Amino acid sequence: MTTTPDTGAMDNSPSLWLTFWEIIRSYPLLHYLFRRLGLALLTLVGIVVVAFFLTSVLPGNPAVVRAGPLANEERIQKYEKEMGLDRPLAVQFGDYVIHLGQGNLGESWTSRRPVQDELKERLPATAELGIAAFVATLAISLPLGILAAVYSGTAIDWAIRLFATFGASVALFWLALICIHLFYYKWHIAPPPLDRLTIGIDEPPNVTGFFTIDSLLAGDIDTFRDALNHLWLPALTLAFVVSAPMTKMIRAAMLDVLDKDFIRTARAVGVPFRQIILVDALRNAFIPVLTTSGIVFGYLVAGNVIVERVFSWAGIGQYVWQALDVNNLNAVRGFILLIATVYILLNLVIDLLYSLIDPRIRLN
Amino acid sequence: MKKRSVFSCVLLFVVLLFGISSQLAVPAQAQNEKPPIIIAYDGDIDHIEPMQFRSVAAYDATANLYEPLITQVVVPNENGELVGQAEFEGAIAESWDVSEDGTTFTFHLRPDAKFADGTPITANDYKYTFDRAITGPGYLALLTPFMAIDSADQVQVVDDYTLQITTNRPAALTETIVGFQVFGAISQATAEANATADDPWAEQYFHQNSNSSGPYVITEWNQGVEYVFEPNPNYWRGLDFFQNSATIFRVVPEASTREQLLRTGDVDVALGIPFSSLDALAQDSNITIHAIPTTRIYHLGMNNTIAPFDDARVRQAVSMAVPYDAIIENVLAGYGQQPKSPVSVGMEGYTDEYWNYGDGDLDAARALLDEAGYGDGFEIDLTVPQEDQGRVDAATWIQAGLAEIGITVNINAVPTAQFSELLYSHELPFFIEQWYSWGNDPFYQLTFNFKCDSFPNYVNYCNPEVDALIDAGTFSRDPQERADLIRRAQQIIVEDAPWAFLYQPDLVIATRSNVTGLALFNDLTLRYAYLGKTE
Repeated sequence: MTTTPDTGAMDNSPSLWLTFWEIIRSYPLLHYLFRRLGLALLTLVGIVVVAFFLTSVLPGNPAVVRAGPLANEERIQKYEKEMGLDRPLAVQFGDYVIHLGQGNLGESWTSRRPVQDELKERLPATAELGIAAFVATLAISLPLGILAAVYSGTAIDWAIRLFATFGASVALFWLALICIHLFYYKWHIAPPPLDRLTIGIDEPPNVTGFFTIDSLLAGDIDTFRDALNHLWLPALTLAFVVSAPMTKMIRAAMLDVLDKDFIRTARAVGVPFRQIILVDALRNAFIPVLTTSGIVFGYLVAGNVIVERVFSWAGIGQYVWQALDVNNLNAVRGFILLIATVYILLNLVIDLLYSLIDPRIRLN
Repeated sequence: MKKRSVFSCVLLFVVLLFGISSQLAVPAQAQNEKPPIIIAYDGDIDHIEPMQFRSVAAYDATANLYEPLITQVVVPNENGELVGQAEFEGAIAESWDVSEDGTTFTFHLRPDAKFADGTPITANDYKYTFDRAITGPGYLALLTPFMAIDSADQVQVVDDYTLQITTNRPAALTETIVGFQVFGAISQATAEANATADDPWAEQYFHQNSNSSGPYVITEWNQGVEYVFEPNPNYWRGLDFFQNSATIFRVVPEASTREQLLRTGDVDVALGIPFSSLDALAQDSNITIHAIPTTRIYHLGMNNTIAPFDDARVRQAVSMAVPYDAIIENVLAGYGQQPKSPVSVGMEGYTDEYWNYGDGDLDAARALLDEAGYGDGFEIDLTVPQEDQGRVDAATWIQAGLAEIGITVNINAVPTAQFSELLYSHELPFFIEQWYSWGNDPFYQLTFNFKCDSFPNYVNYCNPEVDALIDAGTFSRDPQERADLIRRAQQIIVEDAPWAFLYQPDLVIATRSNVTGLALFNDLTLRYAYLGKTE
């Protein structure tokens, strides 16, 4: 923050700034929020730089790919010019940043459409699957983690830990194939692994992009059922793998808390055991769980490329897979920026949630 | 609070179960109605701009959207597959005349042919299409020389329904090229309505849109997921021609998912099934494997200007040591054949009579290496695109084969984009590449791959005599003369051995057994209109 008293024309702006800043400083939450937003912005700037230059050094010339097998030098040069690849990298970067400032992620070199439009179309599919998988992960690992901690050392604990170890060691790709083979091909309880709706069923009117929510908003129960029907198997597949570290985390956190004095005291004075576990202990065990949730959620959004592929789920994971294949650099950069932004925002929200869950954590 | 959350969990599971138990049925087809056909594709449509390079799946799409003047005759083979022939029949052109000297082609267009928007298809639209091809944005200017055309002025409108093409000299491939899907009619009015100062050929518009002159229109465009092709009501052959009510293109990137969808019957056709799964899939009585021999040729390229491959004896020795049969048996699971010439098996004029690298005589190979001064062998990188598992696998067989004659091969698998760039630099010493000639013509194939100044000649082969032979054949319409020329060209190239000719994989399409009318033209793209279902 700079004060420039010698510029007479703007003499009230520095003091305005000062007042503004003092107000913010007097509210720790606001102050914290501003600092974190500033940091997030800095991180994003770093990511833009890394995303741009990292993709630029990817082996293979995109103009060559676009020209195809019936190419010649003249055509490749023409494409390079059209795609701006003939200019120095620094100039390309400056151009990219200027466009970015205008909310423009550039043109996809295959479809000739703006990358932000394509990502906007694909993101809801990924987000819906990711959120469903996250809910399922909590539904699986919360009860299991608590049970394992409460019955620590017993057969129940061992069984749950075995499950967690299996979940952690299984390959997602293999698991997805097996799930399709069993639930769809063998037992016919899952629909064909073909994207998000049955062929012939129209997408619900777009509000959130989540077919389950949009169909409910439109009051269309059939479409809702169909969307849910397509969602549960890929979501559970993802959740199964992700719930392994989550279960372990919850178990460890619960064990830690159950050992604490206040729990012993609570038990000694005769507070019902269920209440101790579900209210006092769980609340205290939530901090490490929340930390893991951030990581897990990021993984769900960004890392379900495999599940999307196997279930023909047209999300951003598949989008970037195809883009990488043909060196569609703007698309890859857009994907990186999108995921990074989501990840940064999530971590911000989680940090803020800490203070709500645990008043002992001071924001400053 | 607690009870509410328990309740909502229970509710969630009830809803889930409800969802599972109520499979939604696709509405049953009425008895006499034509069925829709669902195809599981292994790739997506990137764009449908008809004159620019695009994904394999996108060529399928444009083949059904753009109608050329003339088209290949298709004839059913013993398996009921419809195979494109060397002869042509009228499409939008009802008939055509060729002048005595073979340089003037007059096409008489059908007066009743219309674009999807109802406007008539006229000679002006084809003139516009050829102008766009020759002077416009795409790669087609590389094809028109095969028709001996180098200027857009050689395509003239005589009247609204008569188009005349005049070639510089007689060219064998004029009809073939005119019949390519990429020369299908583009509506001049649509193009001009969507052109801008920066984009005079309306490229941007045609990337996602079309005013179809072909059999289908795309009624649903959901990139990455689904495209619905419905019969074009204005198609010149009429609606009776169509064997299906719609063709639904679904993107299914994972091979084993496609396989299970086909087994269950949720799709009718599955493309891109790996060779290794075919035998198991063929056991299913509801599934038919269509393995159609093609002229796509995979070859081991040896750069003629880079040591040690600048010595023909080294290239010959390598040609002798490649384990051809083992590659076809293991990499293609037997679904393919071995070419013994730079002209593919199944192409006009193919001969194997000059190929004598295959008797497994490794001593002869070692002797050749010795003569060339490589008696102690050498070490070399073999570059392949890592996404093509077939080529990576073939490379390991080649590695093993060449080890027998003292050559140490290091396999260098790189991303496809990088592979192309390396290839285009003309500095790769040793690589596996493939080629497919849309025209299915031997001179077309040799022109691109072996003429001194050709860009795709990545092995830098150069032999003036071969160049002369290729030119003479390209611009001759006399079958006997062409046969003699191609025979001599094969003799020279086989002896010079710039490539080791590896394999020609079959085009494999797996369908439900009740699917009929699999039609394949020279461009190996599917023509949807023929696809139907029995029962």
